Order: sequence, then structure tokens, then C-alpha cells
Amino acid sequence: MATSKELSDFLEAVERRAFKQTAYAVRDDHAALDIVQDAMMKLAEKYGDKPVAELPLLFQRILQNTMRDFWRRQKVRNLWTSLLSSFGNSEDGEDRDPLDTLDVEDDSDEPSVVLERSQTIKLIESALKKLPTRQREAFVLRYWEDMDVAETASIMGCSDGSVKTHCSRAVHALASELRRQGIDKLGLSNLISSKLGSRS
Amino acid sequence: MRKNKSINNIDNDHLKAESAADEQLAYLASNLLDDHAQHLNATTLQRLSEARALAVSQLTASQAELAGINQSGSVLQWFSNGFNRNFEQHRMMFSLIIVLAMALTFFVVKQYGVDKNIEHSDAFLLAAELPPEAFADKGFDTWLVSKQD
Repeated sequence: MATSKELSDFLEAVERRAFKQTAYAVRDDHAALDIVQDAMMKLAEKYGDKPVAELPLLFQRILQNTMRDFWRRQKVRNLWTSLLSSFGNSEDGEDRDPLDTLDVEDDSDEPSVVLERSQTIKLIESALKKLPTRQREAFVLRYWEDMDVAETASIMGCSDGSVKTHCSRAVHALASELRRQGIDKLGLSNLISSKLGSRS
Repeated sequence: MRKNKSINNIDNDHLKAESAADEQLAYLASNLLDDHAQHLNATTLQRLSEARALAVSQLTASQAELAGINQSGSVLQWFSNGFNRNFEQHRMMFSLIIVLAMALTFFVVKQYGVDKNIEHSDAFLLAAELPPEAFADKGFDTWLVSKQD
């Protein structure tokens, strides 16, 4: 059984990645935060008695299911929203502090490198958002979460073969898109090594 | 024939090399994304921290509840708590089930009632061999029973 400390440590380790992955999937930061919070609560409520080693797989499965629930609800909501679109609310940004929503970047690098990295990340994010849902899921779980094919298949609820197909298509589409934007392996390696260099 | 084979081999090698390069690019991209995910704005970090605290407090509460049950040994109390919690969560569902059960009961009773009272209906009287006055006659049943005897 996981203790409170173990659960807290686990969630702290995965929460940022989970948020970004969800944000890429639902394309709405507020909804992504709600989904991650729901997933955390469900994990604690239903699977708090499970050993810590099982938490990553369970959390990913809960997260993916919560995203699917969100899309189902969103479908229904969109129907009503389109019907009642004339009553759209206008946002007033008076109470918003720009510093609160400013992404924090390390300022240890050269400004040109920081700019290049931020532009590259934006391109990668955009390419990732363009992928079909299942391909993005497969890519995120296999390459980002570093899960094996069987674990990914278990989370996605499909066969190992399907995971391999989704991954292959996702990787090919992503690589083609990045190359089309002028990003190659060397460029990415340089960005990563410059980051590591600045840390050390 | 041999030439075709060698062309196929070259194609396969080329495809393998290309997919390996794609895969490396994908790993590098996910490394960069992972790195980027560590730099979120203050509001998001605050929300994530609050969510984590809520989840941990949820776990602490459920573990304390479980520990309480183990100490007192009251399984019935645990069932009762679980039922109450579920009842609160699914109040609408329970109400709907009750209304449906009532509607179903009403429907069944009505159907059964019609079958039972068919001999008192107009159709029965009109289709019967005897005139309607015969059924209204109080002494008719007695006469029928005595005739059967």
C-alpha cells in the first residue's frame, strides 16, 4: 500500500508531464488542469491501496480515460454551445497578471539559444497537436513516458500490433513535419546538449 | 532476378535507416518536450500543487477510515458508510429507479386488472348468449348453482 508521502512524491514527479500531455490533447490549459486533478483524485481514491510500483501505469490509464470522458462531455457541450452561441461571454482581462501566466525559462543561456529552443518547442508542440488522437497517445506513452509496447497497449486498450502501427505512423508524421519545418536531428541534439551544458 | 533482389534489399535497408532516423528524432523531440514541461508558469504550478495536496489528503482520509474500521471491527458501519456515500452520489439515479419501478407496477396492475374484470365489461355482456338482465338478476347465480347440482 502506498503511503501519503509515496503518493505525493509520485504525483510531484509526474504532474508536470501529465499536465503538458493533457494540454496537447485537449488544447485547453484550464481543462487540462481539471483533468489532471481528477486523475490524481481518482488514483488516490480507488487505488491508494496499490503498491507504488503500480502507480505509473494506473495513473496513465486513469488520465487517458479522464481525457476520453472530457471529450465525450465536450461533444454534448459543443452542441449546446453552438445552439446558444449568441449568448457568448466576453472575457475581461483586468484581473489577470501577465507574470502569472508567463512561462519560466532558464535565463542561463544565450538569448539566441533560448529563442531558438522556444521556437523549436513550439514547432514540436504544433506537430504533436496535429497528430490523430490515438497516434499522439501512442507516441506520448512510448517515447515520452518511456513505456514498453505491452504497457502502452494495456493503457490504450488495444493490441501490441496496433500500438506499433500507431507509433510508427506518429513518428513518421512527426519527423516529416519537423523536417519540413527545417528541424533535423543535429539541430535538436545541439539544443539538448546546450541545455545540458548550461546546467553543468 | 538477382538484380531485383538486390534492389529490394537496398530499399529495405533504406527504409530501416529512415525509420531509425525518424525514431531518433522522435526521442530527441520528446526529450526537449520533457525538459520544457519542467518550466511551467506559477499559476499552473500552484494549481498542480493544490491538486496533489487534495489527492494526498483523500488518501490519508481513506486510510484513516480503514484504520478505524480495523480497530473497531465494525464491518456493518463500513457498509453503512459506503452505502450513504453512494446514495449521496447517486441520488438522482435512485430517484429515477423508484419512479420507473412505480410506473412499471402501475402498468402491470392495470393490465392485470383489465383481464380480471373482463366479465364486467360491455363487450362481455353484448357477446354473451344470455340477455344483460340475466346478469343483473340477483337470483340467477343461485339458480345456476342449483341447476349444476
